[in-house]
Amino acid sequence: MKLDQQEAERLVRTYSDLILRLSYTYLKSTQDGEDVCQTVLLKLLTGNEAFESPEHEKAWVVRTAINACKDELRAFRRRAAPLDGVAEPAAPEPPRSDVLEAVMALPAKYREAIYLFYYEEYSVKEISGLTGRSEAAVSAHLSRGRKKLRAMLGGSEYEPNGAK
Amino acid sequence: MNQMERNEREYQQAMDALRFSGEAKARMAASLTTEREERPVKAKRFRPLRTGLLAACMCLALVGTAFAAVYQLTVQISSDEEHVRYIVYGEAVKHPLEDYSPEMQADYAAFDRSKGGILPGRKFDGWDGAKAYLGDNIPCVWRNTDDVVWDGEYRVQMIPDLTWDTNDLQYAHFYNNALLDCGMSCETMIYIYGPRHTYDQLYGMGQFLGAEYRLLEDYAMANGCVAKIILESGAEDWPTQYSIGIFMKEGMLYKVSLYGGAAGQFTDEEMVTQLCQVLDSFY
Repeated sequence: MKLDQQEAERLVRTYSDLILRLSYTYLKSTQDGEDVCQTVLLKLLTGNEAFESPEHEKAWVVRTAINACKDELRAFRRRAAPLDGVAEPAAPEPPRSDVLEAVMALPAKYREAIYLFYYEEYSVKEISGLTGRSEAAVSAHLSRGRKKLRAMLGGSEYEPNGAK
Repeated sequence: MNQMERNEREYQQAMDALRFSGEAKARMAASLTTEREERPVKAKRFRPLRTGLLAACMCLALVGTAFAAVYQLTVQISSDEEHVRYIVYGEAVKHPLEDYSPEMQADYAAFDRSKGGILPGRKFDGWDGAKAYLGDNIPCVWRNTDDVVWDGEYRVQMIPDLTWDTNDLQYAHFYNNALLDCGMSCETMIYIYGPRHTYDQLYGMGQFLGAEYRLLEDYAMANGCVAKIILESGAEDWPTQYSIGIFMKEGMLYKVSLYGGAAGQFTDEEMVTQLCQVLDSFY
């Protein structure tokens, strides 16, 4: 097995699901998840980036995936329809969940904060670094997102440490 | 466990369940390996200049300084068997970290690249915030934005020494994206170089063969700057069109890029006319 193949398999194994979840969070669809994943991992595989730790590499992947999703959003309305007869690979099905549906009904910046905080377990400060938003903005997005979710789903306000 | 905690757990479980199949992962790994073999490792955009080109550009710069403080830029379009690219050469005014606002300096000081993470910088709601963050000693200018129907982010980012030898600031850049009333999207970048930027290759961009860059005649802007105008058209399988204006003011490089969508949506003339209107709106 060649080194590149081993490295490609490691990257897919380590990051493909993360990128799929991020792209679903941004694009509200899993249809382009594989494309976004290929874009990000190919950049990682062919780029000059040097990482000093697995966390550093993961942060780069998250940041690049966010940018790739934003590019995808920008390009979306101008994209031509796929050619007839060209079979697209089946996209992963998002699971059925009232909470997930409620989160996906939030504005993108709230979805972004909620995913990175509650699923990837980044701190507000780290999310600020990853997204380029101020810590105050991230906290506000988390707080407003939670309020909206509470209104949609019911329940008492839950304020984890560091996300006031 | 209260309701919010139950919701949090359900969200995590739902996200856990969202994953690629083993078949899809194998397909992606195979495709990545193939593409990796077909595509050479990307060179950094900024590369030390070859001696011959350096000599040529220094001559041009000397010619420029003999007249006035109009910054001379040179654009070179080249291609090899796989890529087509353009490179912008010129002499920038260097701004050390100390020139920036105390807030920006503090952000840079707080950034510990040894711990990894994302490059230091901030996003703002508008130009004023970004300009204040850059500080009074960075004389960059903005433009009249009456033609903007949707305003995207205003972002300032700092890029450390690209050689990784020091913690010095290599350059900082400002970024904005917007949608214009003509239907084109407009991306503006301002590059502010630091003392570590010791070569005169200021900017470069490349595409795979099939894409095309055309250098048009220089455009004399309303603010007295002279812009290099480039038309970019995408390859056959992704036929997009861009018009790009690049100019230098007060030693900083400005790049304005209009995206016209799929090729054919706008004529070349419309792309250039609109670009010139945007360029003329810079103060």
